[in-house]
Amino acid sequence: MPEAKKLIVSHAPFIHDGSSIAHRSGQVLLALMPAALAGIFRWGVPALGVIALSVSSAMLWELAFNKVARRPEGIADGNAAVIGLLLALLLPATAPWWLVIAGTFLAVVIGKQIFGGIGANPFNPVAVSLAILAVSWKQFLDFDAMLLTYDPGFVMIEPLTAAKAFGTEAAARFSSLDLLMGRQAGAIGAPFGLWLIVGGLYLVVSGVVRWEIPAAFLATLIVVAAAFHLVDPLRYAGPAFHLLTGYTLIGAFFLATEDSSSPVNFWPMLIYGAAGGLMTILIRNIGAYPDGVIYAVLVINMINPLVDKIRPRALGKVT
Amino acid sequence: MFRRSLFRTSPPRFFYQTLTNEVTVALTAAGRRMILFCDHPLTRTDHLRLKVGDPVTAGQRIVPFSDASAYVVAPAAGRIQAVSPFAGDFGKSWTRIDLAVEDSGEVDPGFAAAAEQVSMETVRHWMSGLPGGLDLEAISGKEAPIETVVVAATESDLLTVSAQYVLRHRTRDVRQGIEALRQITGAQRVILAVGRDTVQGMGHVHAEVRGVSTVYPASAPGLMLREILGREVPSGTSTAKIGIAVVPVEAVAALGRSFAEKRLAMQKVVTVVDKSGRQSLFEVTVGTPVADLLATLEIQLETGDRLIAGGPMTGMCLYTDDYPVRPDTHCLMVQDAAAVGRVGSDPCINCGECVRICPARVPVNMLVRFLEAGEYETAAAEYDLFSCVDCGLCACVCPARIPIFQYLRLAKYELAVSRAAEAENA
Ligand code: SF4
Ligand code: SF4
Repeated sequence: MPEAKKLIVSHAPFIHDGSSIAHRSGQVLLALMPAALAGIFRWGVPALGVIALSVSSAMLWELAFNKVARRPEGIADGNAAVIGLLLALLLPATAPWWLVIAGTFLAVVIGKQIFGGIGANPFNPVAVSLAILAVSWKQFLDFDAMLLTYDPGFVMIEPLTAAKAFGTEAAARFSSLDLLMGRQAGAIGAPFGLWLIVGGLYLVVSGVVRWEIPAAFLATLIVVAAAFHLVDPLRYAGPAFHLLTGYTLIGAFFLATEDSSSPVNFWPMLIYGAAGGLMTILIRNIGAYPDGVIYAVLVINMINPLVDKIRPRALGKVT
Repeated sequence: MFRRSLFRTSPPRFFYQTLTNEVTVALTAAGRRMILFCDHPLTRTDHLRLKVGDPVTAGQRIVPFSDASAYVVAPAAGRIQAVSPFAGDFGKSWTRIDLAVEDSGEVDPGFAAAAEQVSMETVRHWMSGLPGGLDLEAISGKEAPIETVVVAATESDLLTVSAQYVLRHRTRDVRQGIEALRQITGAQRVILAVGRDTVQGMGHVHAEVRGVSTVYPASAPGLMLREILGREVPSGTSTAKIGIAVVPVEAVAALGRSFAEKRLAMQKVVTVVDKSGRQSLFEVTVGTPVADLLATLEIQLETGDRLIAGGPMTGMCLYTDDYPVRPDTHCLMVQDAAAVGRVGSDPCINCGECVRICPARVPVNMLVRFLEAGEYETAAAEYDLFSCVDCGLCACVCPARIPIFQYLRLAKYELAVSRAAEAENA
């Protein structure tokens, strides 16, 4: 008998499309790059510092927690890096170091790991973290106060705060083009509408993000904002203003679409996205906060398991 | 084999292979040794009636056990070389009989006599190992009278072209098989299902011809019947339940030829795919060792390679090439060690790729959680486990590389076992 070769035995299927979690994370990081670079360019070294600290501390928290909880190491899947970068882009460039580290702790450990790690978090970890930060250290997320030292040559008042206090008149001081190009006071990456749209669309065409969620989110936001504006044009700013300010675009493309906390079926994705757009405007226009995206995302995360029950009838199922 | 659009907003699509002239056709491998599998476990030997060294004649019906009716039909004359137990997937076990071939020219007259009668009786008694894979229960009409027979000339997996070859080169056998099936089942209607790309020129087969999509897994019975007849098989039951028998074209051809020639047809068409993806078609006797086919093509197996019986999506890995071509071995595939992908240990990230690619609209993202936890009853009751058509696509696109397909098969197996036990105790 000839010498027997040892064959590998495994289960079907024997082909794979090559996708991996690490690749998906890499795509998200890539898609966030234009906005991150624009942020570093605009706010300078402090922004770079926040981004670096946020990404690295998020990864370290992940590593540390996995060690302590004796879970398999998840740092290589890139998810912690994505959380770190996203959080950084939502913070002001002048955020103190301890706030950043507390933020990544809240996101990685409280927002994700205690629920069981990647895929098991019912809420977007970054949104959870930011919501807690905003309640606990409100002043450090007040962009007007935090960015006092900057004078980049455009109106340095956070647009949403201005609109909340003074209505459409204040909003009218910002041209849509300025807002789109990120010539507004705000977080490190969130103000750069154009770059976020570019990155978001890239994620859509590369299959990492489903178009249904951002499309429904933004379309509803526009419609509802327009409706408010029609009813009382003096008090409520128009749709373009809401679209291009605050966390709207980063929220629609990058926060609401987080896999674990968002639906996978077609109609549920539309409903979920639409609810996000609606909630955002409701909070902004009649709620207490100038920006509503974070809370809107948390609310839709909450309804996600419920909405995602709406699904097509499976083959051969008799109702 | 698989296409992905530039914009990945829709899932990738996998296509069945069309039989083209590039495929080397109909090689044979002269087996000096045959391996037969008898569908009965070899747990104790006191009921075993076979001895090493026993002579058998070609076409002899061998019943190895005195306490079981399971049988095999010897494809050639020779001597019993070995009898051993064989364990398959999911606790299934067979008795493996090795036969040293000796050409004596003698043919057992048993089948010729039985074939005078074209009946279910004859089929049951002789044809359980018919090339192509004939499911006796499916044509028995036990569950419901068979109204329609669907002759599936569609492929069972990607990369295989065996069924198309049979339809093209054994048209007469197929026609005779259809007549025999009409007689046996009493079916009013016979439909020939072929891939939509080859639907032309099938008029002489004496059946209604229907084209089936070439996108994998359109030829899975549940999906195919919906496409060509607009009928859905209630999940968890078989096509027989709604009076439809789906029979692979190769089994139909073998059936037709066996009755026409009064001699059991034993030739099986096998697509062999080598490491570079090149395909060759074999016509060999069922029972021929896989090693003989590989030797004919001068394919060397190296340590770390995979040898797969049955195709890239649904096949089964073999431990060794000392394994026979079986009635349903439509395809054999050798995969290079370098192409062997890894399975991950990541959890489900709820990306939904599996849900979007699933042709049966199974909520795989939810299902997988219950399968991992072993909660099979919930999986079946609430998350449509039994709607799954066993295509493997979900596992193919899962970025967490969860062995979803294996979970699915295991769950169905476990449920079948526990339900059988319940039925017995009731
Ligand atoms: S659950 Fe998976 S194997 Fe079953 S039909 Fe859907 S994609 Fe195919
Ligand atoms: S493809 Fe894999 S990771 Fe994605 S939802 Fe399905 S099972 Fe989960």
